[in-house]
Amino acid sequence: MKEFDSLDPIETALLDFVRNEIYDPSLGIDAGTYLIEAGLDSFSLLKILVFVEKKFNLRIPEAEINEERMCSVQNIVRLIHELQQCQ
Amino acid sequence: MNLYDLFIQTAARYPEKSAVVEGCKTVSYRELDALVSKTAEDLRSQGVAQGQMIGLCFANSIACIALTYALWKLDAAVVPIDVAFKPDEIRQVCEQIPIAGMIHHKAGDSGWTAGVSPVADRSYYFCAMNKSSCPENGIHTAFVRFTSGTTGARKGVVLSHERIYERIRSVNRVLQITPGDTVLWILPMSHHFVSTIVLYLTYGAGIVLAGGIWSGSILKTIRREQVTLLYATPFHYALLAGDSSGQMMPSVRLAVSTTIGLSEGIHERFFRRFGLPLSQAYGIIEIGLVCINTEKPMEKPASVGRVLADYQVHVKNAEAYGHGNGMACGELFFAGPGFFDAYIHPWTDETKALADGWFEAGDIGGVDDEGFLYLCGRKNHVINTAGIKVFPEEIEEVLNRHPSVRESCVYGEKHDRFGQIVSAKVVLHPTGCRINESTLKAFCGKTLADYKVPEQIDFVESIEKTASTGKIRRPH
Repeated sequence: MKEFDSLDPIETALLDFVRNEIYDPSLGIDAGTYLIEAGLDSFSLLKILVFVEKKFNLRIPEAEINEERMCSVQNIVRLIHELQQCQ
Repeated sequence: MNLYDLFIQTAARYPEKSAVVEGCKTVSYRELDALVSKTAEDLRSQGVAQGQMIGLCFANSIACIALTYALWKLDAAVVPIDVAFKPDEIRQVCEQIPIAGMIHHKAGDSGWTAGVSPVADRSYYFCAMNKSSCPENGIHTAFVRFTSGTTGARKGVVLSHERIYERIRSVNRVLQITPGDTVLWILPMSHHFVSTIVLYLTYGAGIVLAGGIWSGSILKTIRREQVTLLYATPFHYALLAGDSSGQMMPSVRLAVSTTIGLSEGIHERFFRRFGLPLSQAYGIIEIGLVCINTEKPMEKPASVGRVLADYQVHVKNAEAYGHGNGMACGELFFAGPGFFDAYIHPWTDETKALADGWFEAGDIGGVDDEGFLYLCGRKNHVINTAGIKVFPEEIEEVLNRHPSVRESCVYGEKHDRFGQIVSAKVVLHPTGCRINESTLKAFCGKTLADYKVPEQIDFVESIEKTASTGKIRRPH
C-alpha cells in the first residue's frame, strides 16, 4: 500500500524529474520502480540530490543516502517527508 | 616499448594471481592475457591494424580492460569515449580525431558487426569508419583523450606508450603498488585509465570493480576481496563516512581522494568512522598524477601533497589571485617526465605546447614553506562537476540553438558535495515561444551527456558582459 497518494506534490515533482530527466521517458518509471535495476549511477544520484536541494530546499544527509532509503521514488519521497518533519 | 609487453611480463610472473574481479567473475593474469590475445585476433580479423586510432565506448568491465590491451597488442591507439556521450558528441569526437573504427557496447544503426568472440561474457560491436590512420609523427601513440572546449581550443591529448610508462613509474615511487595490493575501482575508465588501471596491472595488483554506489555493498566488497587501496572521489568517501553498519576496512592501507577538492569535514568524518586518513591527489590528463599527499594527510588534509620526486611546480604571478589556505596563490605550472606528447587538433607537439618545458595547468594554487601544494581555484571557466570537466561554451552553444533562446551564460555554481554544479542563465527572445526549464533541459539532453545538462536554468532579462570586450561575464 502506498503511503502517499499520487497527488502528493513532492511525489509528483520527483517522479516527473526522475521519469524525464534521469531515465528515458519511454521506460515508464513509476513511484515503485527499483531505480538501481533501471540503471542508477553516481551521476543520476547526484542529479536527484541536487534536484531535492533546489526544489525542496532540503539536503539529504550522507547517513540517509543508502540503497534502502533511495531505492525508489516512493522511498525517497518518504525520506523527504521525514526530513521535513525534523526541520 | 609497448604497455602490452609490460602486462604480459607481469602475467608471466604472476599467472594465477587475480587480475580483475567483476561481480562474481574473477579473471587471473593468465586468463586476462588469454582474453586479450583472443580479442586482439578478433579485432584483427575485423580490420584493426597497427597505427590506427580506435574509439572505445565501453563501461567499466573486464571487457573494457581486455579491449584496451588487445588494441595495444595490435599496436593501435585507444580513444576512450564516455558511455554517457550522445550521438552528436561522438560525431564531434570523430570529426576531430581520425578514428579508423569504433568499438561500442551497443550496436549502432548500420555497419556494425558483433565481436566474433564474446569478451568476458560481454559482446562488443565494431564499426569501421574508413578514416586515415594516425599521422606520421614518430610518436608511438597508445592513448588519445578527447577534450571538448571552445572553438580553436586544442582537442585530443596524445600519450605515447613511453610517456605513460614514465608517469606510472613516477607515481609508483609513492604508491608502492605490489602484487599484494587489491584496488577498489569505482571511477569511469573512460576518464581514468593510464595513471591508474595501467599502473595496477603493470605492477601485478588486483582490481575489483565496485558493483554499485552504495556504501553497504562497497564495504562488503572491500571486506570480501581484502581491498588494500581505495581511489575515489570525496562524494564516495562522504557516503562511506555516513555508513552506519559498523563494518570496518582493516585491510585498506591507503585511501586516495581525487578529482575534486576534499573538504575538511569529509576528511574528519571518514577518519572518525574508519580511523583512516584520506590522501588527496592531483592530476590532469596532460601531465599525469603529479601530487599525492601520502606524507601528511592528517596534518595537512587540505593539501594535495608535495609534487612527486620527479616533478617541479612553479607558482607564477603569486599574490595576483589573493590568498588561499594562508598563502599567496598564483597560476600553477609543472615540469617533469611523462607529459603528453602532443595535441591532435590542431596538431601541436609538446615543445610548442609547453613554455620552456613548463605546462600551465589552468589551476590556481599556492605552496607552503614545506613544499605542500594547495589548490584554490581555476584560472579559466572550466566547470568541474563531481570530477568531470565540462566546458561552458559547449553547453551555451546547444542552449543558443533553441529557437526561443536569444543568449545564454553557463557557469559552475559552487557545491559542497560535487565541487560545482552546472547552472545557466538564459535570455529568451521577446517574441519567441515561452518555454520552461524542463523543456530546455530536455532539449540539451538530446545532444549533451546528462552530466553537462544544467541542473538549474534561470530565465533572466539580460546577461552581464565585460565593458571592454563584450564577452560574457560568468558568475564565480
